[in-house]
Formats: sequence, structure tokens, C-alpha cells
Amino acid sequence: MSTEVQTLDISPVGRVEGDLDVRVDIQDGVVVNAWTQAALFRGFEVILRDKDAQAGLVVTPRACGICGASHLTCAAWALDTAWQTEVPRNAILARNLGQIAESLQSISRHHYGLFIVDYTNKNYAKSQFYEEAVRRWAPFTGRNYEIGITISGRPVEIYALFGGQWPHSSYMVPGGVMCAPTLTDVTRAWSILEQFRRSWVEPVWLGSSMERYEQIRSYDDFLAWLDEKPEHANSDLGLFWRMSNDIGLSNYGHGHGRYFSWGYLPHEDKYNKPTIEGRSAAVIMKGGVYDGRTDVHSVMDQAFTREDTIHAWYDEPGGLHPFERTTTPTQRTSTDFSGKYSWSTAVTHADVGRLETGPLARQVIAGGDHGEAWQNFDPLLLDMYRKMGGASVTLRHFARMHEVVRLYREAERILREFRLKDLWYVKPTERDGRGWGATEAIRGALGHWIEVQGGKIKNYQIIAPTTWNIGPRAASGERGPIEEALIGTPVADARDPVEVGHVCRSYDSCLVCTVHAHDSRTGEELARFRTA
Amino acid sequence: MSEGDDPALRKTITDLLASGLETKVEPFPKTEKEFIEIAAELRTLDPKDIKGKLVLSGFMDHPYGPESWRCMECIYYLAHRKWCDLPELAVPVEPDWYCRLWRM
Amino acid sequence: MTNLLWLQGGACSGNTMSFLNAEEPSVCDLVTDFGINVLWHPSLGMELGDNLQKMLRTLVSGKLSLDVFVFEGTVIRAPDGTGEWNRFAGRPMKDWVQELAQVANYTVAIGDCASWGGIPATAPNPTESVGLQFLKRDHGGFLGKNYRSKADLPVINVPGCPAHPDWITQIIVAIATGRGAELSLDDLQRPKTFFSSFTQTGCTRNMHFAYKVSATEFGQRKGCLFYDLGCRGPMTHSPCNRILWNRQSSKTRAGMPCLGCTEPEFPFFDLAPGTVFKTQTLMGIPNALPAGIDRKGYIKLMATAKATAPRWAEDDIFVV
Repeated sequence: MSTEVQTLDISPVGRVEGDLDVRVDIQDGVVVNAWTQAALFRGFEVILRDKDAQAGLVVTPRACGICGASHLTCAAWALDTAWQTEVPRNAILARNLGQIAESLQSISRHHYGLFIVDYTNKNYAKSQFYEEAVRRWAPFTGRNYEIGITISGRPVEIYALFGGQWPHSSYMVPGGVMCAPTLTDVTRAWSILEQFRRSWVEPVWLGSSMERYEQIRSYDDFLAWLDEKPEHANSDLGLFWRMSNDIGLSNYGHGHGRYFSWGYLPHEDKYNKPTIEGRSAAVIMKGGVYDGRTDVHSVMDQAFTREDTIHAWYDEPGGLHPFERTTTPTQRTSTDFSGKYSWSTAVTHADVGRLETGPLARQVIAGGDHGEAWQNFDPLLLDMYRKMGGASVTLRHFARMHEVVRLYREAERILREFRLKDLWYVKPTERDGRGWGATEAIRGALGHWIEVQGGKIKNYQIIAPTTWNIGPRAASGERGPIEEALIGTPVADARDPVEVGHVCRSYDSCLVCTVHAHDSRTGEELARFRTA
Repeated sequence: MSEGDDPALRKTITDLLASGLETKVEPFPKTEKEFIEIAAELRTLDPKDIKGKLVLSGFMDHPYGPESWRCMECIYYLAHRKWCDLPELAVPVEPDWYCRLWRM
Repeated sequence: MTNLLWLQGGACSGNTMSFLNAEEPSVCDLVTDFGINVLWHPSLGMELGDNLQKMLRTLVSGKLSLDVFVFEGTVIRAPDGTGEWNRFAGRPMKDWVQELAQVANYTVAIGDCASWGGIPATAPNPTESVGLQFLKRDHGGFLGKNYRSKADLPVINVPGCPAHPDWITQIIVAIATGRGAELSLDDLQRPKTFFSSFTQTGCTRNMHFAYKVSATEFGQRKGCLFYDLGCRGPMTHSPCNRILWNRQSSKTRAGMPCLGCTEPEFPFFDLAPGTVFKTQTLMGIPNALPAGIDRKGYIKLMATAKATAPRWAEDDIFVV
């Protein structure tokens, strides 16, 4: 067996929030080093400078057409904290409903459109589940592919009822929301939810009722559920789980083992006078930091956020808090893996270092006993994480899909909680100040920092989940989360390194594309393949 | 959101204007920017400070300006209730009155 | 079979997401029922050879026919005209666009960014972004004023931020069923069938527009959004209230002012302070009046409407 290091340049791996390119060093068929590179700059922070204080409500949903509601949520709450608004309970509920609708859409769309299609890759032809996977999940023609893609458009119909359209509405504004829904909007939203459940969640995804699934509280419970009925084992969830284990996806993609979440979905009665400091104790889905190595949960605060630019294409000092940044792109953007090589900054926690964000992070944090007693608690993923020996491609994707039922329930609760004759908006007084808005987009923690001065934007900073996850090395040399997660990834065939794509995509992504691999010594192209 | 008529309030305003209350009828808010500044200032007043509202928004009990603008043509005027629908004002008005927050 | 290639430049993928919401036909229907052969799309796992770059070169060489070239996002030219800030498949994306547009039978710009620059081209346009054949209202754009695709059409602009899925799928179906030549375009190269009527056409707030009752703040149950909240519905060409969004509603129906996102000036006033969600006025009268109406006519219309408005127009209409 050769011990020579082979370098693969994989370009692009990513899209949507920007192209992702990856370089990996492979030794003895295993990735031993990795670099992730964000390859597109659009300069939204630069555009927002000196604009109307509310410009972020129009511009930032358009930073990402996939997570537009999440950006809008952040943009609105950032202004709410800066302007010291009052936000009526109906408006908090309506914002949360929009966030949830977008996430439900993304769960089904990402799973079928972007993630599971890889299971039909000929790389897995030897798996006993392969033929069934192709029947169900082949692009366009697979039975459940079509069901999944079609159903993914339904939840955002609810968004349209309250926000007019998805993507790219701006219906959340400081002081509340623009809409004043009627009873028919609520009843129609119910019907859409119900259809989502009856035509996909239960019959296709779970093969079980949601009520039965909700009884699962531990890894053992889950395994028992899987074996309980053929309908469970043969559901798309069951097949995903069994095939993932069969093709080895539970064995790699570990990462740093440190996680964080901003928490999200402010409680309708607890965040009506929003402040930066008061947010953590007011959200239904709690935030925090979880260190998997020490098995300790702790609280998270936006003040810990730092951005290193030593390996990023910006001419700014490193270690800045977002309020201190200026977003000054460097003009020279040649790739130098020992110097600057990405448009993404390296985001760090001032005390803890690099952190992974995403559904797995949210879920291992949901299992902690920190936070407020009334906040959401769900021990399943933390138990699985502990018993399965940490993170993997399988667990990361399972965490994402697991959220569908909980979010569905929260949407139902919101529809019950609306008081249609109460206020939806309290007109705020515009003023100067600093604000912070955060949420959890489906793929992880999103934050907007705004400084308003003289009625216009002095500084607007966005840190997207992808920034946390695909950032390059930090000043300390510590790898970014995906860079770290790639270490140990087996690559069976350097001409078809599908495993690298799996790891990248398990961070959810938007990382869809064609991957091509070059031999770094000869420049010869080895292979190019789709990652989605 | 407008409220029902309030005969007592209507009389108070009518009397105040008839007594020659000096209001800031000038300058007219040339653009949206000045308009919003006046509206924002109105919001800082005690909602019961009727006199303050009238003064700040430049109320008059007759048409005004070269084109004789009056409430009747203003976007905020609700004719059947004879009511000003601008949330910052929200007061009973008469069709021939005028204030500098007039717009159409 | 109709070969379709979809690429993204300076994009947010919003048009792709909108496209995936399509029904009648759905994205799957396009493939299975209309014979659309999606050669490649950044978010869809399609049948594709192993080699994207090789495929792109085959298209450029003309060995493989490119029937529809769809582009989403701006063409990024920064820094200094090199396009290096948006590299794709081994080179600046703009170089691919240049070559592919020359061999395409139809070139379709999806969304504002590809049509005229959209948000990324907002001042100071840090990425030197431009649309395929326009930069804002200036004809030319990246491909130049004289560009024609092989079917002898200029770039077909399907603007909107995002474009509605039906606007996209109907154009594709028209081409796939051999009716591409019947597409009639306006002077901004938008299909007239979608962009001759106004956003206001079909708006549920039309009666309040007619009787001059304003929605003075958000969250109200009556009123038109034009007078105070900056709605551009009466001046914007789109079928947003004829072909509803997500099969349910529209921004104006839900209480959100139209931002005019199918017009080249979007975002209007370059988002200057004081312009967002506020009707711009001069001496009490809106700067931008409904299409075709002058100031004098507007005043006359207003006075008449106010004088004749029925009592119900003053009450809430979108009641619980």
C-alpha cells in the first residue's frame, strides 16, 4: 500500500450561498488534510452600507433564496432590538410560522432533491438496498423523488398566506408583521399542514403515525421502532437509516465535536420588548454550546463571536466581533492555501474556538439540561450521539430530518394561538442604535448585526451557518468544521471521491454541484462527479 | 384604525380653532422626509394632548394655500365619519379644514 | 428532446427555489411529459455525464445542441473586469456565459439579476455585476445590444425577484412545444403575455385604491398600500395578482407593498435612506403616479373619488 500523499482539488463542491471548492490530501485511501474554499463574493454588506435603516428587510432575504425567511427573521429582530420596538404576540407567532414553513419546505426538498439522490450513485451498487433506492430516489423518475419534490412546495404556501409569496417576501418588519390574516388564512394553513402530513410525513417518510414517532426518546427506542413493523423499516426513513449504515456513512464525518446554536422561535409572550441580552431566555428552541468531548452544555452569547480573516480574502484585522468589521474585500484573490484562500471568514467562539452549527448542533443542545425549564427538550439525538460514538454523515442528516415532526407540532400550536382580533403591528419610532437578530435557518445558526446611525446603516454584518461551517483555518491554525470533518474520510476511488461530497453535504447544504478531482502533481483530471 | 365620532372632542377642536389657536401651518412638509419627522414628533405627544396635536400639525378651520387644499380631498379624510384616519392624528375633522399633513 | 442548461452567476438561488415550487407542470413533469433534457442544473441531481466541463465544451463546440440556455444571477465582472470573483468550472463564469450564449437557440434570463443586475448591481455595485443584456434600464449589458440567439431572438428576460415559477415553466414549455417564435417581447425584452398588465391588476385592494382609502400602517384590515406604504403596484408590470404566488396569494394581498421587482430600477432609489416602505411625495402628492396619469389628472381623480366614496369603504374589509 502506498503511503504517498495524493492531493485532490475538487472544484466546485458548492452552490447557492456561493461556490464551495475543496482540496483534500489523501493517504492510504483516507483524507488526512482538507481545505474548504468559498468561491463567490456578492458583497451584500458593502451594498447595505449607508442605505435606509430598513434596507436589510429587502436585501438580506435575497442573500439566499433558500433561507430567505431566516434572513428576514434576523433582519427584523435586529431592527427591533436597535429601535427598541414592541412586537405584539400575533406578530411573533406569524414570524415563527414563516420560519417553520420555510424549514419544512427545506427538509423535504433538500432530502430528495439534494441529499438522497446520491444513494443511487453506482458507487453503492453492491448494497443490498441499492435497487430499491434507485426505484424510489432516482432524480425525476424515482417514485418518492417526485412525491418529495412536489410536496416540498406545499409548506411555503402557508408562508404565502401570511407573507404573500415565498421566496423573497419582506412581511416581517420592526414592530411586527405586515399582514392581518383572517380566519380563512388560518384554516387554509391547517389544511395545507394536514396534507403535508397525510401525503408525505406519515405514509412516505415515517411509515408510522407522528404520535408513535414522538414516543421515541432514546437510541434504543429508535431501534425498537425500526424493528416494530415492516412499514417502519421500509419507510424512507427506515431505508435511509439502514442503507446509510450499510454503505458506511455512519463511520466518518466526525468533525470537531463542538456545537452551538443561537436557539430560535421566540416565545410569543416572552420577547415582546426585544433586547440583545434578553433573547436567549425567550426562545422556545434553546440555544447553547455543547462540547462533545467533555459532554458539557453551556450558554451561548453573541458577544463571543469573532471572525478571523487571516485566511480569508479581506484586508481587515483578525479576531473582530461583527460590530467591528468593515468588510473590505482584497482585490487580489489568488488561492494560497498557506495564506488567503476563501471568501468565508473563520468564525470562532472567543473562548471555545471553532464550532459546528446545523440541525445536529441544535439537537444535541436540545438534549442538554441547561436553559429554561419551559424550553424545548428532546434527548434523542444526544443519546444517539453518545451511544454511536459521535457525529457522522448519517447522524447529521438524521438530525435534520428528525426536526420535521417537532416543527410541524409548533406550526399547529401557532395556528391555535393566533388571536385574530388582536394587533399584528405596533408602529415603532425609528432611532439610532445597535441591534442583533438571530435565528436557526434549517442549515444552522444565522445572525445579523446592524448599527444604525443618522437614520442609515453604518454597518451591517451577516454570519450565515455556512460561514461557520465552511470557514477556512483560523488564525490559530485550527481547521474549519467541514475541513475537520473531512479528516478520516475514506476515499475508495480517487477518481470518484463521492465520500467527500457526502461529508460536505451532511452539513446540509446547499452544497450541490459537480466535483472534479485533479491530480495535483500532474494536473491531470482524475474525475468529476455530481455531489447532488 | 379609526374610531367612532366623538361629539365632545369635535366641539373642543372646533372651539380651539375658532378661538384663533396659532398652529404651525408652515412650513409644509415638502417631501416624505419632513412629513415623517412631523409624524414622529406627533407620536411623542401625550395622545390626549389635543391642543399639542393641532398646533404641531398646523390645523386651520378653513382651506389653505394657493390651491385651497382642505381635508375633503386629503387621503386621510373619511368623509362619512368626518374623521382623520392618520394614526398620529386620529381626530374628528370637518371637510373644509386643513392641516399641513395634508396629502393625496 | 429539448436540451436545457441552467447556470447561476451572482445568484441567491431564489429563482431555482421558485422554479421548484412549480406545478402544472412541475419540474418532474417538464422532464417526463415535455421532454426537457436538463443537461445540468446547480441544484438538481440530473442525468449527467461525469464531466461537466467536457459537456460545456461540447456545447460550445456545437457538437451537442443547446436549445435553451437559462441563466440565473448577475454576470460578475469584478475585480477589474476579470470576473475572478465568480469562478466556475475552472474559469470565470462570465467566459462560459459568453461562449454558451453564442451557441444557444434561446437564451433566457431568469430573475432580476440575470435580466438587469438586480440587488447585486445596487450602488456601489461591488462585484461589477451586470445583466445579460441590460444594466438596469441601459440596453447592452454583458452580451451587448446586438446579441441575438440562434433562434434570432434577443435574451428573453423573465424578471422578478424571484420570477414566478409559471412565468418560467410556460416559457420553457412554449419553446419545447415549438412555439418559441410566437413569444412576443416588450421593449425590455419581457414576454408581453406576462408583463403588459400591472401588479395592481387583480389586487384585492383595488376598491380602496379607487375610493382613496389608505392603509396608513402595516397590519390593517383595509386600505390601499399605494398612498403611504410605498406600493408600486400601479406602476409595475407583472401578473402577480393574476397568477397567484404559491397558488395562494400575493404580496399586496397579504399586506406587503409591491417593490416593483419586475422593473429594471429595483431596488428603487438604490434603497436610499427614507425610501423603504414609504411613498415618496412632493408637496403632498406622490412622485410616482399610476402609469399614464399626470398630476392634474390625479388631483381631479382624487377629489372625485373622495367625494363619492361609499360608507363601506371606510370600514375594515378583510375581517376575521
